[in-house]
Amino acid sequence: MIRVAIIEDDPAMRELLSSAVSASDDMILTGRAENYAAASGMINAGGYDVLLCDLGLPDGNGADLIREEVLTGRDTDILVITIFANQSKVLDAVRAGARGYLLKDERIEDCMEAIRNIRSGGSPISPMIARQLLGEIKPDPAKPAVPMASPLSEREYEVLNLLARGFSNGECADILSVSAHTVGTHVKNIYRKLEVNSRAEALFEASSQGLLARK
Amino acid sequence: MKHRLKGYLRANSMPISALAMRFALLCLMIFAVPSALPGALSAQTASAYEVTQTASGPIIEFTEGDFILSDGINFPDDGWERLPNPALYRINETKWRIGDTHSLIGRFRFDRGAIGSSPIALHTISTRNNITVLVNGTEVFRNFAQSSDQMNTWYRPILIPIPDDVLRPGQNEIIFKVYSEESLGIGRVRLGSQIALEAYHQSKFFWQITAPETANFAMLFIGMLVFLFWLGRRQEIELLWLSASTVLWFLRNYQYYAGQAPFELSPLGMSVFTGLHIHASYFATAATAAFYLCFTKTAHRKVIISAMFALGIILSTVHIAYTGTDLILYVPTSVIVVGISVLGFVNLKRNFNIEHGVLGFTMMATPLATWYDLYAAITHQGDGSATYVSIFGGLLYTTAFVISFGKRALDAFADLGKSNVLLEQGIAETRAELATSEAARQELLVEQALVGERGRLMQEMHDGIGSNLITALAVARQQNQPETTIKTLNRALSDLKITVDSLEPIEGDLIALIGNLRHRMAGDLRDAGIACKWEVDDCEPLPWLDAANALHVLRIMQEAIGNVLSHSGADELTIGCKESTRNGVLGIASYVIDNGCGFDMSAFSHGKGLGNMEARAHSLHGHLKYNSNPDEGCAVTLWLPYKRSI
Repeated sequence: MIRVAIIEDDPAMRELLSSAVSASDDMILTGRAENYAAASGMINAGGYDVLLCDLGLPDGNGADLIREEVLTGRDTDILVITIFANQSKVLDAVRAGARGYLLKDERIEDCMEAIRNIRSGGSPISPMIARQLLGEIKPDPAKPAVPMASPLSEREYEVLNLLARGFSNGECADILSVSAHTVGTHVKNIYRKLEVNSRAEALFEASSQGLLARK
Repeated sequence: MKHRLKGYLRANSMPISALAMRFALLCLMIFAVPSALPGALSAQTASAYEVTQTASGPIIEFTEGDFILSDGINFPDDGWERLPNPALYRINETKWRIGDTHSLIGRFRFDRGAIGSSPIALHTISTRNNITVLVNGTEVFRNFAQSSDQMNTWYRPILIPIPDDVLRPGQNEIIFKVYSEESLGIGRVRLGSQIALEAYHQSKFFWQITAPETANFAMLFIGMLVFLFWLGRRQEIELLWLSASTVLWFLRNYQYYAGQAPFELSPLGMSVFTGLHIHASYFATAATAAFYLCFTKTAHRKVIISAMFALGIILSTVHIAYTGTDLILYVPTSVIVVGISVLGFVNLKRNFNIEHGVLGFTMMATPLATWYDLYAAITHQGDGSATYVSIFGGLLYTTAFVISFGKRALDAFADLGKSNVLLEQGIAETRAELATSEAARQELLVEQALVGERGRLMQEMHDGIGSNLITALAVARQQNQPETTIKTLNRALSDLKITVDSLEPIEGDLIALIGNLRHRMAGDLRDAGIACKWEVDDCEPLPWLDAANALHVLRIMQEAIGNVLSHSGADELTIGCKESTRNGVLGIASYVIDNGCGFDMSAFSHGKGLGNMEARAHSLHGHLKYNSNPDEGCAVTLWLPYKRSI
């Protein structure tokens, strides 16, 4: 059973997701929150495997909640709920610790499938996000200042490159002779590395600006 | 130098004992006077002479005469002594003191027949200093107005035309009455054709009087100019040394051509005259050395210069106080001259260019002039037939300096011109850089504004219209609203998503843009049971692909895919991008090909959708092509150039 918690301020969307989760045989709804405060309490309590999180809450930023969840150290998969899946929003969420996204207008079956996928280790990605990620995670020879804490493996780089060139997960899998699920796993790992790197980068920035005392 | 000189002198079979004496006296082209030798008196007979034949008549030169030497201005009739001529009594070789007057009367007898017909002239040189000449008792020449005049004639050629009526047939007599406060004597005496003697005299006078005088004043003038330069450039101390040296050289050379002592007050006049020559020689040489040391930036020059002048003051003081031999000044002078020459040689080797070269050569040549003068003094024994060249050294070296200085000034002007050009270049470059950075700043500002605007639009679409559409769609689905309502809402949301995608920064990456569209539409295609193939080649980015243009591209492709979805009945769709040349222009062709029913191109009517697509393609500077046949599917190709012509 996949335990699912939902943070969403839009009641219709919240209701739609809740009922779909409850209706699924392999999922169980463990919590719902409609604002930042309630969500914070829910995160403290824990007890779920997948957290669906809207970013634009009336009393706070969903990305901060994602960071809170990450700080607990639990093995939670976080999906952000987004209308457009535009790259800046998604990547900000990934940097905070999210592993994927749900589109609000997606058919609800697809949303449930996305929850199952993320739990079994596969993350969604769009060509534009892949393209942006490729530019960000590839070490820039022009500015070698920030050391890459977690560089991409060759295969991950290959996958990302294909995805940025518009190939779907299935097509990537065919080209690389792996399963589509493996491609999703690579994407999830790439997201994780982006998160690690952005955290390392933040630390590096902070320490180089003297915000953290060096021991 | 001393050693080499000795060698030289020995080669000329000079007695060694005389050598030291000569060297002392002639070290720096001071005038040499041979000792007067005693000879037998032979009055009433013709004097011995040598005859030279010229085109205009014979010239005789007396090799002996009858003489009476006495103190003061005194010309007795008695006590004639026959001696060789020239008869010179050089003050350095006597026990006389400067200011003590001595007189010499000389008598030369000849037969009228020995010289040709008129015009006849008498020529003498180095007869010093106050001269009166009488022919057969008639005064024909006097170089002073009153007996107190202190004349200076040691180097001066004198031509005296002899009126025909003072000569008489048979024996004639010429009397020289000379007196002087220093060296005394009667130099070479020649008599004969005025035409021949005139030519000789002119040449002598030019080289011994006119030229040295002109050169000396020219040098002084240059020195004054250099002094003015120095006032403008105080840090270049060599300019001051040069101008100082010209004054000293001027004083040193003055006595060559001055007809009269510069001071009338006896005995100061003559002693200053003589003293100037000896002392100024040293200090002029030292000042020249100081100039050249500064010019060549020789190490320790301050110490060397100070030492030279300190030594000079000591030596001059000793010389004046103890009336010592001139040697004590001439020997150090010679040492400095050699030093300058060596420095010239070294500097010439180091800096073989015009600026250093002219001076280097001049400085190197200085001892040569000195040695030549020494040679002339020794061979001619101060009889006035030698022409000295050292006197021109001052002008030569100041001129060399002016050339050097001029070269440097020209170079500086050239550099100034160059640096002006460089400066202008620098300014132009800086201006261009400023323009570039200003353009970059503007671009950044525009970009920042775009990013800000994009963010605001995104937020607006997300929170406003997007959220509302999502809610409406959810409600419509929940309430089982008619399919058309749901479809319309869906299409509105898709359009909004595409608008959002067009705003994404993609740096002209057309493949990612179209890939993303295909990703967006994957669900719809899957629902319609259409398999989608994706084909991409490597393509360069389109530099002009901004948000507005990206939206055009997306709308065209969306329309093309939408047409496949709604009309074609296809089960397979290929979307792709490849490089393609159209009318010789390289670009990217994006295509949508289906395997659906197709249509007859000839019966194909331009619907509203197609018109929109074509208008968009046109505004993209691209080209849209439809290609279809019934039952053969349809291919829509949008060609876009890499570079858009303006």
